[in-house]
Amino acid sequence: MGVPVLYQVGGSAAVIAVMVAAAALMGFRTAARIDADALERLVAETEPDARVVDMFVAANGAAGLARLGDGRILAARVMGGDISTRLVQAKALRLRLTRDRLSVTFGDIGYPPLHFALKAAAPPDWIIRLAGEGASP
Amino acid sequence: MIVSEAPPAPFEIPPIVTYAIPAFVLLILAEMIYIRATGRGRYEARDSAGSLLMGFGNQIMGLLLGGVAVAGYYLVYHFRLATIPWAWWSLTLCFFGEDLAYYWFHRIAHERRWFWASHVIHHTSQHYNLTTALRQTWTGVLSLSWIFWLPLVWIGFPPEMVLMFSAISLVYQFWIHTETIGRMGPFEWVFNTPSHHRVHHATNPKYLDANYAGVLIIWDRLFGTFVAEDANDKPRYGVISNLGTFNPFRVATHEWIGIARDVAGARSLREALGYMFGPPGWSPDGSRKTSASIKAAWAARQAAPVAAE
Repeated sequence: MGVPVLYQVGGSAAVIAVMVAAAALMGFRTAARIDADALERLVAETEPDARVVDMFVAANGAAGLARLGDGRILAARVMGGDISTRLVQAKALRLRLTRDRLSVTFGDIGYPPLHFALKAAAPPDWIIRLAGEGASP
Repeated sequence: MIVSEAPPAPFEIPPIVTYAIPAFVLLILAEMIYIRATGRGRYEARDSAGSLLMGFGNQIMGLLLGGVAVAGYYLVYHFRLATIPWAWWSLTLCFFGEDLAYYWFHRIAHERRWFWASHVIHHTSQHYNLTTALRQTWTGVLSLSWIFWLPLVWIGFPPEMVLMFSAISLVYQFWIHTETIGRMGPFEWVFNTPSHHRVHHATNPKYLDANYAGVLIIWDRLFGTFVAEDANDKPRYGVISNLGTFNPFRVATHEWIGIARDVAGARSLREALGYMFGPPGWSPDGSRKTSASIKAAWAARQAAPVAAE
């Protein structure tokens, strides 16, 4: 790789840093928040005919799980100002429950594990049941 | 070393994309300021960082592997049907030919999972702004996406001419990634525009698998894939299963790893081939969603009689 090419690559990296800094300085740093209403809306958008049976929302509003009438789970996570969802069969999830944290792992490299802090309250029974059925040790 | 048999260009072809980069930067900053001032459009710093890093990775991969595609062009050119000179008529034909090749590359990149695994990267942002234009694949050369332009050099267009029009097309497609420009009247009859391309990036069922054009929208109109933007159906951007990460390595490889896992679990050669070359979302039992099944479900919902109040 010649010197001009290295200049080109270095210049690109510098320009990227400037543009990202400009975006941040202009206030383009937003964070969506997940609550029960947001989960209901996401389910309606994803599966218009589905019925929500149970929900579990992270205390910081960064993630949520909704159990549908047919047993499937809709997972939601905040991605900046947006929310990204996955609708999966419950058996496709791996839940790991400890005293202060619930981790949910998906079989999809594009959707890393979700983590829920459990400081304030214990998770609902359906989550404990789900973790018991499919949890990794 | 590649020894060109092609007739030399009568002018020095500039590094078109490199020369366009300062304009890209200024236009992105201008778009940010405009959106900040008017609220017409959306930016998110982490999303933009992700897009720009994908563009950076694309640049690195181009430097490392781009020569493979160029060598492929020259290899096929060696077996050309004719030797087409540089002339106004050949430049005109090559412009249309390159744009047609782009249309078919782009269409198949959406319709076949092998090529989608590379192209999906461009669609993984839930935002639609000028940084989205730079969210480019890292695996285009490896996935052989460049084979769609080989017929042009096989016919006899000089590889440099084809590469020049590919670069012009890439630069043209930058400015159409914006929500700040509305409809453009008669210009939209012939040319790809922000409105047409918003439809292409949208996941609304009625917009799926539409508007594959590079420069000229005429190909979509000719081949039946044109869909006009509907003011009553605002585009929602991204992919059917939006990513849950900004990590560029996960973004670049997630679909390839998905293919590998599916193929590893396939119970027959037919299943393995289906996972690799079927439509994105294909599965042996039809349990996953494809664009076709999503559109069919949407059409059925539209056609269903409204319940009496």
